Amino acid sequence: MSAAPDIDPDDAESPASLAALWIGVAVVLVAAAVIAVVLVVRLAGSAREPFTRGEVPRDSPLHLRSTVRPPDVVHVAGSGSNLPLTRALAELFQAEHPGLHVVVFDSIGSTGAIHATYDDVIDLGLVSRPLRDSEAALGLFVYPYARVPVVVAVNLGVPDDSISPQDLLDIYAGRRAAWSDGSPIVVLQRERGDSSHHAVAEVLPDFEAVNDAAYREGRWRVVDSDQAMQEALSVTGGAVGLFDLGAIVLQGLPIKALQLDGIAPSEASVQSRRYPFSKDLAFVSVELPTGAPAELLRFVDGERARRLMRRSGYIPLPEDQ
Amino acid sequence: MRPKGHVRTVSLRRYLGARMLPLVVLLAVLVSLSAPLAYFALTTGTLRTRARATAVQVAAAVSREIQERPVLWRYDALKLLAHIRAYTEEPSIARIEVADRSGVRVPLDDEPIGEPTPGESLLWESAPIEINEQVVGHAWAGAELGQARAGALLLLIPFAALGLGLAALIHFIPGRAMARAERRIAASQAALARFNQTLEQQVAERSSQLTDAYALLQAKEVRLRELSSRAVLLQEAERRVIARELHDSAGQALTAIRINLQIIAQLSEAGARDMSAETGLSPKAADKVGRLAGRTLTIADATLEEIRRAVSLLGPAILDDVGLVAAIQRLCDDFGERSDLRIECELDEPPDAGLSPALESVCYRVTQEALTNVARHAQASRVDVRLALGPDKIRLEVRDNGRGFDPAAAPRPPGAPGGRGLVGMRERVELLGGTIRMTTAPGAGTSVVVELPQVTLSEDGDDTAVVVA
Repeated sequence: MSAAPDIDPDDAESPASLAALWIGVAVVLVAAAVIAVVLVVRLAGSAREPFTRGEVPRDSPLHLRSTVRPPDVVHVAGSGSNLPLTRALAELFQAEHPGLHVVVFDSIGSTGAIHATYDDVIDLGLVSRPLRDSEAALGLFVYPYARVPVVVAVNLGVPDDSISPQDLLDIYAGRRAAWSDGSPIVVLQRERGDSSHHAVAEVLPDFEAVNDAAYREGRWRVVDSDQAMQEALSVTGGAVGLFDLGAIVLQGLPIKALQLDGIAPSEASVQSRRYPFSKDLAFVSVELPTGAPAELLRFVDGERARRLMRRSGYIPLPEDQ
Repeated sequence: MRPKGHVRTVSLRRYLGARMLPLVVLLAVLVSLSAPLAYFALTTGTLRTRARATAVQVAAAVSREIQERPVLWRYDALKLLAHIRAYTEEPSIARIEVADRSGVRVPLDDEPIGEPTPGESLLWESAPIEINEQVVGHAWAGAELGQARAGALLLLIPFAALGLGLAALIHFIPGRAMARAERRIAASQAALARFNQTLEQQVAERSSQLTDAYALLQAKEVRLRELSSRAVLLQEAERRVIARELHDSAGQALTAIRINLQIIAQLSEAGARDMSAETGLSPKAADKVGRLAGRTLTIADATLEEIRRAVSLLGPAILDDVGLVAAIQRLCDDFGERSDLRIECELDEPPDAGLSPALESVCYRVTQEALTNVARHAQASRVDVRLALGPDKIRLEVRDNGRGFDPAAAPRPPGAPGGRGLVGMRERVELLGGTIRMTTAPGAGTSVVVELPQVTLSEDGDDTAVVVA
């Protein structure tokens, strides 16, 4: 606007004051940037781990490498699925072999059993799933001794007696939420890597996807041990979960095992594959057992032990020809 | 370097805009960064708290497990930590690790909780693992910052937009206000310019009117001067005619009467001595006639004297008798003789038709007054009298070599030019359209200069003829 009133910018203060203003703003911006950087660096953490990776000192209480194992004592640890049967077998073994002792530790899982065996911390490990490729590469010796049907276990209050594989998928996928009497279904899920889930997924491939989705969505309550599962199934109305038939029978648990499409889990139905869900229980050792562990393995392969297994809902391995 | 005196100007809007720009930039940056940074700080603070709480839980659980299963605990620790992680319901905890008191990580499984991601930044918090009040290691919980960072970046977008929006508002609202103000000021200036133009026109009109009025006034003044001049000329001509009439008619008649009265007185005196036949009067009667004639002769002489005096007042009779040049010359001679002054006269002869009586009277009386002042006050030894007769102008100068005076400081000498003596002359000079000025200084003598236009009532210069006519 040519007719607009003008200001003389050449007065002594104008350029200086403008420059001072820019300098002030730049100082404030730099200070703000410094504060922001310091704040972000202090708050943002570091990509560097606060600990080192290396050999843990031998005297560290966190990383003891061995226990005292007398020759007449067999240390056994592993999957919770193996524990009820193994403890019953150990009791029978000790009764038959005075002077030999078997210590069966609480569950450390199949994975823990393989690593503890490999570390020679225990004499025999107990596994309830096939070895993974990385585990097989360790060169362990595997001794399967029982096969146990994996059942759809429910609380005794559940009115239903049978279930179809599709029903099982629908229940775990959340598509079916009530039993036949309308009572709500409470699904109990085991942690990832559980051997029962693995056994079902082997036969029912869609189950793995449904199970994964349930984990991701946090849809169901997850229990992380056989002990926790059997307690939850016993006391939770409408509860359903995958469990071992042998554990139910051997311990006389107040839990009901549902038939699958009208077929009850039994040695005959499992052997004929009409009942498809089962898993094999095995010992693993880092080398060929000798001494007391070898005696224990021979006992487990003996007739008394196989009868105990059959009585308790397990199928002794190797199978009878 | 701009030349001195050159002034560069900018508009109000640009001036304000230049100063608002840094503040606007500052505002935009601060608004854009403050909320995301605050969010990031608060979120990371929360994550630190959660990571520390998780580490405390892990340390307690590990401590319990170590005491129950000193060797086998770590083969089942993966499940334990997964359980803790699941039940803390804290998805931001990316990794849980256990380290020995020497700071070496304790391998818990071949699938530890959370695999380290290259370049991943975690907020690590720890809690001591104590057994029998001895710290045997630390439990570490690492919280991932991805969510906090993503949230801060997400906030950065709207707050950057907000900052830019606010900055734009703060920058453009005053700018628009300045633009409006500039428009108003420009309008005011335009109105002022129009007003000035109108005012100039009005002033020009008034000036023109005043010029016309002044010209009219000058014309009237000229006319008035002309009239005044003519009036003076006429008055002087009338006075000259009256004087001539008195001198020629009444004076001559009274002179004749006086002669007759002298004759009557002589005859009466002779008749009183001896009765002559010529009178036919008795001596007594002759004596009485003689006395009457004598008294009448006295009255006639007095009357003649009055007439001479009146003629002198009406105008120097000498002008009529000998003319201006001879009258001035005679006046100078008389003053020279009486005052012992050397008076040099340089007088132009008037044209044949002569000058107007008024001009002659003024020139004569100014000369007379100036010489009188020289004689009285100047203490001069020489006086120069010059009379220059131009075709249009008459110039008379009387200059002496006397003591002079300071016209501003010194009191005006009585009768000095500009004093009472010349006041009347000045008036008459000015009435005739002329000027009279006096130049003097202490020790430098005095000069009186009169300039008169050549004015007459008649074209031949004989103003008295106009009066007679």
